[in-house]
Amino acid sequence: MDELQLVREFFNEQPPPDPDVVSAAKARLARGSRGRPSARRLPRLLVRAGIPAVAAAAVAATIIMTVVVPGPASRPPVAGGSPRPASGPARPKQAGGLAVFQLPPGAAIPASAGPGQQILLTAARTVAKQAQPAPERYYVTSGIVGNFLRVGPPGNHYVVLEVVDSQYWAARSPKAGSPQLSQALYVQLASPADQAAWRADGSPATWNVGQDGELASPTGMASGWLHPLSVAAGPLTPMNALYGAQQFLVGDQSLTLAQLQALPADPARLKQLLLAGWSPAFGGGDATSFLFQTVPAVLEMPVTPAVRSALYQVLASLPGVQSLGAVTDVAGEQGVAVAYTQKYSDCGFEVQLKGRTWAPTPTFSSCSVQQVLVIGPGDGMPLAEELRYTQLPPGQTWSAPDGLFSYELFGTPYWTNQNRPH
Amino acid sequence: MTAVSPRTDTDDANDVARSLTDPDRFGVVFDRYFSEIHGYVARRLGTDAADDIAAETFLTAFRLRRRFDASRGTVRAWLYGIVTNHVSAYHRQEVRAYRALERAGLDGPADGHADRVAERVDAGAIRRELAGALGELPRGDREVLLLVALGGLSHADVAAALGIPYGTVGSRLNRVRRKLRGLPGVARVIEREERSDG
Repeated sequence: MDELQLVREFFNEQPPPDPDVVSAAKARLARGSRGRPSARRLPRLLVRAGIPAVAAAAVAATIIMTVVVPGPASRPPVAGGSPRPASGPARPKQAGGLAVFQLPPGAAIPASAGPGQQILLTAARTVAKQAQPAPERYYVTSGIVGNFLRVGPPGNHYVVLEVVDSQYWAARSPKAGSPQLSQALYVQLASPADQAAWRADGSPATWNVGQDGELASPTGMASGWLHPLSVAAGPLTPMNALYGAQQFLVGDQSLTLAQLQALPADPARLKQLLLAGWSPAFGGGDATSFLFQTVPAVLEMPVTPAVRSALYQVLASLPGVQSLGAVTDVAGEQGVAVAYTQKYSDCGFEVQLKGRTWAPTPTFSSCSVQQVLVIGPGDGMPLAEELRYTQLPPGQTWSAPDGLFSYELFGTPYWTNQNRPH
Repeated sequence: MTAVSPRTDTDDANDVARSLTDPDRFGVVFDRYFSEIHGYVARRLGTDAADDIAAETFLTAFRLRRRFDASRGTVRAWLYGIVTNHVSAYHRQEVRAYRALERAGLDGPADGHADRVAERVDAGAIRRELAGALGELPRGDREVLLLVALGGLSHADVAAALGIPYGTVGSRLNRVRRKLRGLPGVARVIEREERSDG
């Protein structure tokens, strides 16, 4: 017995929180954490596009000077795969400050051409033939992520596109940190009408976007705390670093490289593992939607070719996956695409400023979101992922072409012995 | 890969890091610490306040997760730092409660193990003494004391939670402990225990 024990006894122990209290608190957190279903997260943890740091830095310098969109970045080849042609999204010359986003010719998303199984099984056969490169110091996955965000004052909302380079350097050694890096590349306006509204707003160069990790919804701002957005390009910035050996997030599990490479190549068992820890109660879509979001990231990880093939077979086993046939992605590259469309009942959250804290208020309105996965015809690897509204909540408008609200251009992941950027 | 390994501080930090791009991941942090944080607040301020403050703590933590810096401390310490800020809004009520207890010396913030205490000591007198001392402690000293005594935090975690130097934790805690040992009832209990132990 000492004075600390007496203090502990002074403050009597209390019963554990009531289950209702716990679930209410978790719901409060979920409202604060989930702006909207199936939104592309920015920038995703394990994403792609092998842009060497040097090239990225050069790109940044270009933009700071001119606020014109960067030139295409070169993508390094990966052993066993063929380098993809480097071409960026169509970027018209800017007039009066910020350029207007335009889809490249032929990039409109076509209607479904029937079930998507055939495309996925073809991809499964293609990736099965890949060679497995030997590990080096870092495994680099990265991507160019584009998010359309609603900004502007009440009564004069408009949509801007922010484009970010996202990189993840997974260290082979558990002692080295595995940094996730992000670099703001450029901002465009979603349409000529948005450009006019932006000018009417005084042509601002910065905005506070009421979202974090999620996207603004057609009903207004998404939840989360304010995130500043600037038209100026930024440096390659470390967002955080993972430590330890379990660097690969597969579904809801963190795996080491050895565990990742020991994943089963049996599609049924693999699907079970991918869904472990997932629950429909999490919201944000059904199991198919979850797998559709999870699998492309895992395809980019250093899994065995047999597992990569099984991942496509998992997608092929899902009900409701449609073929879009031959498509042109946002970057103008040719591929074949599959898509999954889901209706959501909770498409929007509004935020209100209460004192100094943000209080998210749900505005449950329904919308439909289509997730499009574009597959490279040569190597069978994911080329791009595009998310778009196919049905907006009642009374809402969305000005980006084709209902697009987010996309990601996948590069080629690669092992490297280079030093990491940060 | 199905083997379950014990959670580590690194796992916690990784969960927070992953929640930046995968917000659902924050649910893991919530599941791991909600009851503990709730219990800490419930002991200090009662269950009703704890229901609200614990929920608000995790919402704040989620919104500030980008600022979490694993090099400065553990996730657990970071959560205790956030909850300390929320509890500070109740500072006046808390001190009023201590003063009331000092005068009354009856029930604690809630019923519980009072019987056990009563068996050992003249519980009422000790409660009055402790309540008086707690009410008079400088805020910084009280936070250190309660994070150690109730939260079970290490000195390093307290330093991280409160954003104060490691050495300051030790000096504040020593000062508080000396003060408490100087209370007649507390001194009596400790002396009695030491005699019966020795």
